Amino acid sequence: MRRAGAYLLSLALALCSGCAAGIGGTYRNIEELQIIETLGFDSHGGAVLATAATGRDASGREVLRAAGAGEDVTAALRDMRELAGGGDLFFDSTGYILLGEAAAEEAGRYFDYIGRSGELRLDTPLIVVRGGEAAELVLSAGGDAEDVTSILSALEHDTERSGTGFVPSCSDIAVSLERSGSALALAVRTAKSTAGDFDTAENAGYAIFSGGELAGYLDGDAALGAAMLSGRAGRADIGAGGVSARLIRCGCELEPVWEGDELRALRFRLDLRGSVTEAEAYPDLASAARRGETEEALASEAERMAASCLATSQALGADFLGIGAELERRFPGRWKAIAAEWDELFRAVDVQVEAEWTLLRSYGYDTPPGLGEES
Amino acid sequence: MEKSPVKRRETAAVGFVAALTPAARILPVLSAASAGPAAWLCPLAALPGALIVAECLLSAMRRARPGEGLSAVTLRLLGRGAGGALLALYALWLVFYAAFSLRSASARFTIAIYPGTNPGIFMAVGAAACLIPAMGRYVSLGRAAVIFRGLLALVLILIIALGISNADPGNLLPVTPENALPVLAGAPGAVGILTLLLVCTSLPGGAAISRRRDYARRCLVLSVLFSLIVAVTVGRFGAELTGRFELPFFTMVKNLSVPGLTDRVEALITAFWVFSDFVMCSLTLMAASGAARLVLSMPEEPPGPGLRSGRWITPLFTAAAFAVASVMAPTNFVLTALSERFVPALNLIMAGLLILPAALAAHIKGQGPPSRRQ
Repeated sequence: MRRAGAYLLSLALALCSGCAAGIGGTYRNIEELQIIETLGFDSHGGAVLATAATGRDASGREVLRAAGAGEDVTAALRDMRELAGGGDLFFDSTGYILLGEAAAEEAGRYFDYIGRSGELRLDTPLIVVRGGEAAELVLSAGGDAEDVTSILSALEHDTERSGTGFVPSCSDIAVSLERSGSALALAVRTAKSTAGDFDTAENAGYAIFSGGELAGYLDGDAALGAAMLSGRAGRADIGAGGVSARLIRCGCELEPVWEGDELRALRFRLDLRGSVTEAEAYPDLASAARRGETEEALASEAERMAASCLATSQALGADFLGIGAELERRFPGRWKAIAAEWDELFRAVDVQVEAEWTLLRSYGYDTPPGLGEES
Repeated sequence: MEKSPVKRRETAAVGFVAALTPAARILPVLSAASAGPAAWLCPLAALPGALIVAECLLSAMRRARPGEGLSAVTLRLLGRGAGGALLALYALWLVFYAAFSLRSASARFTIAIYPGTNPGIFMAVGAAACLIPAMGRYVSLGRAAVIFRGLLALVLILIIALGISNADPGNLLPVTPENALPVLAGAPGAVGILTLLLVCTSLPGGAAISRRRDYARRCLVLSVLFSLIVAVTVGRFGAELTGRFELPFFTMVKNLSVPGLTDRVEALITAFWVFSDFVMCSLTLMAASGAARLVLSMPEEPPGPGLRSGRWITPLFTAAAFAVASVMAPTNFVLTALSERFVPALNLIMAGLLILPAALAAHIKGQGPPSRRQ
């Protein structure tokens, strides 16, 4: 009994977690909190424009959209707090961070702020607004019916489930930059919604960061190629050989070709499995030969996508797939011989992609229906 | 020494709870800086060193008479001159370490929960809270540690389970024979923590060093725990990024969430971590006071209540710890330097200064009751 009391008394230490009124004025009334769910940053000639939006909650409270400007991120957020009107802006539950394209070109300053911030979490997804500003989406996306957070949430789920499969967070980007000097972030584009007269966001591939600055983009096919090469693709749809197939599983093996301690080539072997979801002209997939043709066509398409990604990576000198890190992990002795010149070597090394696609099923029928045939 | 399974359990709990604070504070940074991706092996590499220390401790404690702790054994084996000087030096070191515990605990509160707040209030409350058990008996601290261990074990299981699910195994590789030296170079931090705990838990009334397999098991459990703490931190952020954070373990905790239940848990976990600071600070004050009492020819454990019989030393040392804590690190930069460079090194040096002469003297003199297996 006494021990149970001691446990309960010890649990009371939870009051020291800042949830109770007291030290340092850190107590914040939950009723007054405006919980920011999406935060956007834009750069304007060295100054920072910060925009923020709350989400819709069960009480039906209107979405709050706020903006602030300043010479740096801290000043912009302070300006936003002062101009937000009633309510206490609460950034600790921010679910998405948007960077406008101009801000992404000097992303280092924003990464630094996010890394040091006691409010923002490092596992928050960071998304680049391609060809536009974060403020456009934060302040006007969704109109009255939706809000930017619900739009980004749907886009995130869609990407993870049936798209390229991964939405990098701030810590994913930071780890990749530390390890490989390059990283990917999801890119979106402002678009007109077909569901109403308001702006929405559509998937625009991946933004490539190199050395803390925006270096380029991976478009749709190359973006899926990146996902396949890193083994993280979701259930994306790929069309080739007269069919559309849904990717179920993907794996990638890197096989470097060495001559002594010299790296001669990088060979990527993709192992892809998927199923047919749509076909143009009732292919007879019961036939092994026909299936083989279809698999080869799909594999060729996957090779093209992966090769497109690798070509962009080499052209920019951005090792966002972490190939160097993997070589170091698997061949530490040989890595030492090439580490100093890896940046140059990576741009020039011969890259080969070989894909193998296995059709698992065709969701309906293998043999086409007997249209007009005698029974 | 008397057999006392309850006391052995309490001693083990004291060691477990007190170890968490220094382990979470310095091990991820020191290990990652030294061994890179193989950082998670550094605490395991500390085992041989810790076992050597424990063996030295055992050889000294085999000469202990009933009711004697390490300090009393040291004094008796080395004599009042050398032994007294050594104990006085070690008592001062333990007061400094208590001050360091207060200061780093306050820093953690002001970073994680109460940003911008004056750390002085946390140090004052912490010192006052630690004074109470430090003036009491070791067995009381042990019983409290058993309670704390249960709560902290639950918290740790949650952290490690969530941490493992968020970790990237690629951040913990490669591990090659070439990592051997860097891993060994990163081991002293963990050796220092294990040594401090072994020494401080060798207090009168504690069944600390009675069987070789007890402390071997204790060192193994703690090394594995330290290794997991480093692994989930480096696994999440990679070795390079881990080295950039002030408190990488708590930064990792900050990014944990329990799906469907809570978004952020770092404030709660930081609050519960104060149990570890409390036990560590109380333990070091208790050990320092006992050593000082022996130097002044008083009983290591005061026989009666009140401030007589040397019990006044504890409030004096507590006040000194608070005063030192208030001035030792005016900025977090100084605290980081102390935490990562000076304190781990001094810890090892001071432990060596205390344990090795006592073990050597025990070996040479062969005094005291014959050793018996229990």
